[in-house]
Amino acid sequence: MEYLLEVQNARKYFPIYAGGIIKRRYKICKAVDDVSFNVGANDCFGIAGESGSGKTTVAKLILLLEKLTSGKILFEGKDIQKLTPKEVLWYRSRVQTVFQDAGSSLSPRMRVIDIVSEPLEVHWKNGASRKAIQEKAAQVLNSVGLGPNILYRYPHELSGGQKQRVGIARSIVLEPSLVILDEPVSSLDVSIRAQILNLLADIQEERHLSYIIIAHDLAMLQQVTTHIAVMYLGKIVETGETQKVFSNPQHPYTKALLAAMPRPEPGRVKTTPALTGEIGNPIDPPPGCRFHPRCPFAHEECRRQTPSLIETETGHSVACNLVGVR
Amino acid sequence: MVDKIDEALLEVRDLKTYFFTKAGIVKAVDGVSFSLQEGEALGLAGESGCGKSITCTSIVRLLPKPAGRIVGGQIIFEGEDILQKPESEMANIRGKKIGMILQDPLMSLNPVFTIGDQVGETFRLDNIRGALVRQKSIDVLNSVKIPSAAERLGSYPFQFSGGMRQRTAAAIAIARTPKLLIADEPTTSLDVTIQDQFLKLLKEMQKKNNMALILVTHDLGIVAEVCDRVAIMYAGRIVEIGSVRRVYENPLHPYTQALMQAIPRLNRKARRLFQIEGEPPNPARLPSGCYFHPRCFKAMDICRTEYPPVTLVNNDGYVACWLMQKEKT
Repeated sequence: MEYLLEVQNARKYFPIYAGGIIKRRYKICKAVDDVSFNVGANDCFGIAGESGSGKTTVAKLILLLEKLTSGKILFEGKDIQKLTPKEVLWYRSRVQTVFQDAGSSLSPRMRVIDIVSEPLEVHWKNGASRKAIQEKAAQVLNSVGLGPNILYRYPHELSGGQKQRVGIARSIVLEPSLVILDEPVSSLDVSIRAQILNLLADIQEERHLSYIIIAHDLAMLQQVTTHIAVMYLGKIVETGETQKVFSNPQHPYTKALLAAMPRPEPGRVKTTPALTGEIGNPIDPPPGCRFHPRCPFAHEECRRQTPSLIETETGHSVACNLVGVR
Repeated sequence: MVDKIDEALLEVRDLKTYFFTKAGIVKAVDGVSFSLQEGEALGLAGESGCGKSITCTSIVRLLPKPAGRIVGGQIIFEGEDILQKPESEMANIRGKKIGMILQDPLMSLNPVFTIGDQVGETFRLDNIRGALVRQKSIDVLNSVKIPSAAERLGSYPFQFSGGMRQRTAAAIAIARTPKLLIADEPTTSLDVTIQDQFLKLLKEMQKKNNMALILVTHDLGIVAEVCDRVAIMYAGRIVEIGSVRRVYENPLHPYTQALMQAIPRLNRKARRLFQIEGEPPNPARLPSGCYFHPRCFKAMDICRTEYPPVTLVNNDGYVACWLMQKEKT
């Protein structure tokens, strides 16, 4: 089966200046370390994890906003690092993004219609008239639920939900095949959140595109994604089909995350013990399994042996020394 | 109007806090009433702009001046109306009787003073001096589980992680064992697992000191985990209040019902979420009648013209909805 996007052993190391004037010394921040996953057509792929887990860096790598240290990312079978400048332009029209904070990702000096027209002006090189461009933009804005009375407003005149709708309209106006959404609803209120998530589902049904949704809210990811990867300190600890991962979580970190999530169920008794400690530092990650200092089940082997992803059932893989041994 | 009367620690009666701006009067809090017993945890939940934070800043009288003013109502704390007290007495209540934890500990901790200075300040206010300040600071930091507290007294806030900063802020808030702790979105800036640790700590402290708690949050999951009772606010008013169990299992106000359905939950298969149409109203331009009626799918004629009176729910809070009035008659 051909995947739309293939990420193969992606690594991104950032050098961190650590002193020295004549001979500069650097430490290495392993933001993304040996990450592989595939996104098929019409998939909705979720990446979950706490801050510092590397989920946003993965998005930046796919968007060509950062260069890979090693590994490969293939889009429709093409290595995106070997694209010619012309192909990069094509790639950027196929892969679009929606940012977390809609307010700061929209230019305060541009009107809504101009914000959504801009990608068309860049990419429609066949001399489309301004009128045709604006018509297209208005039509897309209408499809995300923003009527003609919004077109000539500035972002500061819009509510949070409307701003996020403008961000979504801008990302789909070029009819891409992949949209990357980095925490698309975390800054929105509950009632608006549901509207945006439903809108995203409608868009996908209509346009048959793929999503990569980056978020820390597992309940939201469970409801909207088809596949999911849970990241911890730059590595994927568990991945697979969403229903399989959630109905049968294997990695102690996934279990702990699920238990730690506050749920609207009064009187819930937590069976999984709470995690102690805090997420480690990617500059000096712990040896062996990166989760072992916080893992209640860690043993000697976990301090030395870095676990790799092992398939425990079809379409469900876990990277844990304790899983698959028994 | 009030849901429980007998000897409450805090009783807020018909509180009205308005902001007088160039664009007109903004009724941020418009007739909020609730009471709180000793050792009880109340969740104030609602979407942004519903007045939940302003209710809390009104209680400690820290409204932004001169725009914000309390124009009506009473706040009875330990039997006395604190709105009538002079500012000098108020300063003694804040911190000593009512502690507060704010959303962003980076903003509430001073970056140029050490943790020891800032925790110790609370004790110096009680005229404690010398080595005892240090000892007490270490004790209170230990109680919020700051590892090796004694060595950490000389650290600055930027050297602490987000979770440790928020625990330090909590240590300052509980240092003088207040009767009431107000926590305004205390975990919004924290990761899930760190949030879990902090909420556990909050509950522990509350139990140990028999402290009442007002927890402001937009996350109904957090309320369910920490609170005994919950008040749902919408556009400056409480639309429903009651025990967490009753409100979650049997929500009576259409807004509460819609909120409960709109939260993504684990183990629910449907891809589409229940959605509430429209957006919360602008508090400067509130709709007529019930403020929720433009978004309410059960709205009747009367909802468009008159704000509903409250209906008591068998000894368990109240609801402000015309539907409840209709059922009674």
